[in-house]
Amino acid sequence: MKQNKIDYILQLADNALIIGHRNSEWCGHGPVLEQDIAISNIALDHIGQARNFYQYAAELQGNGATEDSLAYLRDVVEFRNCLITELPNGDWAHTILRQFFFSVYQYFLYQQLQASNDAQLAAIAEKALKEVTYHVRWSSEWVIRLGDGTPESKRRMLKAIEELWGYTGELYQPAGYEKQAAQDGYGVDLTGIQQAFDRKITAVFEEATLPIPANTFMHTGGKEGRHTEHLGYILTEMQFLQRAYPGAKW
Amino acid sequence: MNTPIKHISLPLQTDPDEARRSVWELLETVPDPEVPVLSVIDLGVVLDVVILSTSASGGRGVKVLVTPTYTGCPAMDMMKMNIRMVLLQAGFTNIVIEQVLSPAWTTDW
Repeated sequence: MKQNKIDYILQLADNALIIGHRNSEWCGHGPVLEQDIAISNIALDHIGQARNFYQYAAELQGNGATEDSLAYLRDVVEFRNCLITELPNGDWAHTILRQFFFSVYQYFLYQQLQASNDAQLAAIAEKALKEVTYHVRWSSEWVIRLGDGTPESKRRMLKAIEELWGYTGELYQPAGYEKQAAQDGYGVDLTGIQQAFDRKITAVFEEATLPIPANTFMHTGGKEGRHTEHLGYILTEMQFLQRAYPGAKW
Repeated sequence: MNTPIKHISLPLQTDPDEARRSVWELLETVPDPEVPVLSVIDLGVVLDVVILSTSASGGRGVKVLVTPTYTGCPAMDMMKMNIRMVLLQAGFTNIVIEQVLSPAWTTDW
């Protein structure tokens, strides 16, 4: 029972950590200063969420586990983030579209998680929701700006949709531990959220003059530790210091 | 940038309400690491101070409840450390700093 809760929390933490890490790769490389700062702050928000979840998971796990041991000493098969978070950043269109899909998902997820019977999860969700609300607004505005922009921006958005759409389904396909969590009252039932997600995506895409793809094949596996080759490279960089110097202290 | 933390040693107060007020005043000397003109009290980071009962050996205890401004705030660890140091200087031996996330901090505070 407790293991199920830990698995559930780690999924929330890993999602936040990996997309936070991907967003942080833009730091210093943004298209304009304002957006460099924006995406770096969004990355930091995500890493903050990850810390809160990891700290809680470590507390539940005990045995000397810490937020750092969970983030830095687990290998690819133990990570439970959705595949969409580990994909390479691509161009700005790709990045903001990924953020849009993911933030809309997080928005409805956290909104419901506030009603969790676990007080700590509810508190983390309440805190994170304030920032995620901004992420949704920021990314929606970019989708509209680029979708209904120039021929080049539209071309890039269409390419981004083609690349990312097949990774959105996984967000709503609950893993076993998610179903158990919803049943036990501390997790969110994802089926309810999918409709809200679809409505929001449709509304923004319409304003952006972008097409919704006809339902295509959806990639899955991330929630169960089956990842694309990209996660290995991310962890290699992210975990290098902790692996090369085990037990290192400042 | 390094604003020195003022060291104030609190005289042993037996009245917990007085002690609590003194601790609150003391915490006004702990600055935000990034904006040192603001204290952790000004920021609304410190939610509450609770004086704990004195231990058998005479050690004074205090619990401070803090909340982060935004989820990823990297200065939290430093602020908690500074709060702890200031309380140690004031003679407390049992210091508990607890982070709470709810109710969530807002700029209204």
